This record gives sequence, structure tokens and C-alpha cells, in this order.
Amino acid sequence: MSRRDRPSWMFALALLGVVFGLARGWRGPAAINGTLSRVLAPVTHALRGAREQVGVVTEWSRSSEALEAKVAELTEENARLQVESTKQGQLIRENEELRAALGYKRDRVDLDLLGASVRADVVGGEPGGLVHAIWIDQGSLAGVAEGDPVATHRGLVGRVVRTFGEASQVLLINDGGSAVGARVERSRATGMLVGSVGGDLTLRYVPQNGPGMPPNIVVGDVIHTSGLDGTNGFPRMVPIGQVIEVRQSDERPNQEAVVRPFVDLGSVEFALVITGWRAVPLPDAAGSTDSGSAPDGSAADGSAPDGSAASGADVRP
Amino acid sequence: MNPYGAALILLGVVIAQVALMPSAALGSAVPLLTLLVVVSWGYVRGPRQGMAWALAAGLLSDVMSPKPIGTYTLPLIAAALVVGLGSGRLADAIFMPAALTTLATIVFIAGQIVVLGLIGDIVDVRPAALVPTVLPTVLLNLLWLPIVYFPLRWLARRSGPPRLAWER
Repeated sequence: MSRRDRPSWMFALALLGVVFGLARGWRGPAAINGTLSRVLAPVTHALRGAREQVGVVTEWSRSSEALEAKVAELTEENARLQVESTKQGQLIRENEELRAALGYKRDRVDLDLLGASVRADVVGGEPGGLVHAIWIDQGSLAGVAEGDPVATHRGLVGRVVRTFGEASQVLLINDGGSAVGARVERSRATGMLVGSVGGDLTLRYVPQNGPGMPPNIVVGDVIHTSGLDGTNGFPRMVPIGQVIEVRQSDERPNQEAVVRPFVDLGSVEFALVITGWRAVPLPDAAGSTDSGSAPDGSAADGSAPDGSAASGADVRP
Repeated sequence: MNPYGAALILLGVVIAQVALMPSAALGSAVPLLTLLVVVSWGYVRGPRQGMAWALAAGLLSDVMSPKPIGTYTLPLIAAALVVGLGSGRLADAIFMPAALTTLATIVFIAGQIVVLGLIGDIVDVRPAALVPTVLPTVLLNLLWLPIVYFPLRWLARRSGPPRLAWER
């Protein structure tokens, strides 16, 4: 083999390896994943810091240019006040979000949330637009495990699919590979909420009601998690979104609906990882399917709000 | 170009893609910095180097993704292939980088849809579902193209003899 041919052969071999890896569902060596995830959080924070500094400088210069012609000594003061005002606005917004998150944590004592001190900041997205995932800056060192649901105070965000020491990757609910057991709040009908490569959320397999009965799903219905995903699923009663379109056909036994999520999944800045919830037991011979914790924190199956009762399968000890 | 230098550049590009590009998103579409680098380098340095950069950038992107390996590599190689085929005849035309970027973006998205469909993801191929993703992505890539293309053209000139007639 000539030296000139060697790169082509190497390329072909690498390509073959990639195809083989794809067929086997291989996600790459964990050591490289872990190293890159460790680099990601500091880089993102540094870049964000630099961007904020640039913003401060830009704002200052703009103000000073406008005021220099009028009163020179007021320029600096004005710029400083503008920057302060911007900073205060950001702080107020952040404060409101944190208060809301704290309220959510109080409301849902049945969910053990990684709260304020170790809340997870979003430090990265996906290398392309068709896969919907985010990186957060909390990993196994903070108790985050694969399969943990992720939410904000507004609603469900996704599920942790990979954890590293100081970072985790979260597959968003609107990804084409995501599926969440969901329930229509008004009618109690259940279905499966799936994402797609375009990022749309669709509630599928919602049974049709008989003639003369109220429809199981209408535009405006609120959707939340059903908790019927089994032990690796999501806790129940976490809000997801609202129905904006119903696709119904009389020939089909099931109908589907397009759901707009409560969380703007494209601009999540921080999230709460639900680490210690109790899964609803799957239907048994007695037919009991709807136990589990209620939204007010008390458990429908009689367990304590902290989830210490014996019923239900522990996700983690 | 020195392969270690190229690997370093691509690593930086992939990290920038993951860390920075989500904040430059238009709806659900993000500028595909990695694709722009592959297209630009393939255009100024030829299809062989374009394919090599596509392989390396794709593998790095795959490592940063929750999907199996190949989800980015294969569509990026397909896009580099299109650049290689397309840059032959009208290589010196002024509109070529923009035209190739548009074509490569469409090929990349189509390739990724095929790969994601193969691994079992839910793929909606109706135009109503695809157009809101494809169009903004093409637009964003065209807007970001000068930021990527001109520095890479400068780098290509410094790292080797010019390939295109107008560069000489």
C-alpha cells in the first residue's frame, strides 16, 4: 500500500467503525466523555462572564457617547447607573425564578429536589438542532443518577441520560427518542407523550370516548405526568404543557394531540433534578394503578409526604 | 495542516458549538458551527481534507451527544462529500461558499434525519414539520458563514499553497 493510499484506508476503516458503533448504539469511550464534560462547565461559565463584560462595556460606551456632548461629568455616573439597573433587573428576574423554584420544592415535598445550593445550571446544548438535549453542571458527585427526571418550577424538562462527576446530560422531553407517560388533567385519560426531531410534542394513544360522552381531550387541556412509566419513569403530577391541537379521526380507536410545553425548552437556564421520588407500582392483579403521591405532597396510598412508606418501588435507597 | 493543530481547532469548535451556539438559536434552530468549519475547510483545502475534518469533528460531536456514535459523523461526512463534488466545477465562483453551505446544511439535516430514524427516534418528515427547522438553520448558517469562512481561508493560506485560482 502506498503512502498516498494510507489515509484513504484509515478513513474507510474509521467510517466502518462509526457505522458499527451506530449499529451497536455505542456512545463513545466514557473517559473522553467525562473529560469533555469536565471542560464544558468552566468554558461555558468563562464565556458567559466574558459576554457579560462585553455587554457592560458596550452599554457604558453607548451611554457615554450620548451624554458626552451634554454634560461630561454625568457620563460616567449615567453609565454606571445603567449598568447597575441592568444588573438589578437580572437579579430581580433570577430572584423571582429562585423563589418560584423554592415554592415548587415546598409544594412538592414528595419529590426530593436538588435545590438552591446545588441547583443545576445549564452549561451547554446539543451539537446540532435535531437532537434535543442539554448539559447541566451537576453530576454523580451531587447525587444525580441516570434516569433522574429534571424539571423547573414551570414543568417537566427531561431525563438525565448520562452522568459524569461534575456534569450530566439531559434528554429533553421534545427529543425524538423521548417518551413520557402523560395524563389529561380534566378527563384523567392517559397517553404517551413523545417528541420528534423537529422538537414538537405529541400526546399519542389517548382513547376516544363513546358517542354522547365528553371528549377525552380538547384544546386547552392541561397535561401532566401520569407516573405510569414504571420504576425508570417520571413521578406523577408534574405539569408538562397544554393541548394546542387535537388530531381526531372516527376510524381510529385512539386520538392524538399537539402539546405546547410549559417550559420553554429552548432557553432553559437552570433546572432541578428530582433525585429521590417513589415510583407508582405498576398495575397488579387487584387492579390498583393510581397510587402514589398527590400534588399537595400527601400520598394517595397513605404513605408519608417524605415518601417513607413501604408501598411503591424505591428508585434509589 | 498539522493534524494536532487541526484536532485542537476542531475540539475548540465543538466545545463552542455546545457551549455558545444554543444562545444564538432562532427558535429550535441553532447555527451549525461544526458544519460550517467542515464546509469551509473542504472548500478551501479540497475534498480529502474536508472529509478528514468531517470525520474528526463528527466523532467529537458524537462524544458530546446522548445519541449513539455516528449521529453526527455520518451526516457531516455526507455534507463534506457534497462540498467535494460541488466545489470541482465552479470552485472559483464568488457565490460558491454560500451555495455549498446551503446545500451542505440540507444534506446534513437530511442525513441526520435518516440516522435518527434508523436508531428508532420519532421522525416527522412532513414539510410542515421540517421547514421550520431547515429554513432557520440554513439562514443562521449563512449568517455565520463569513465569521467561519474568512478566518479559515486565512489559515489555509498560511498553512499551505492556494488551491483555488483566485487565491493565487
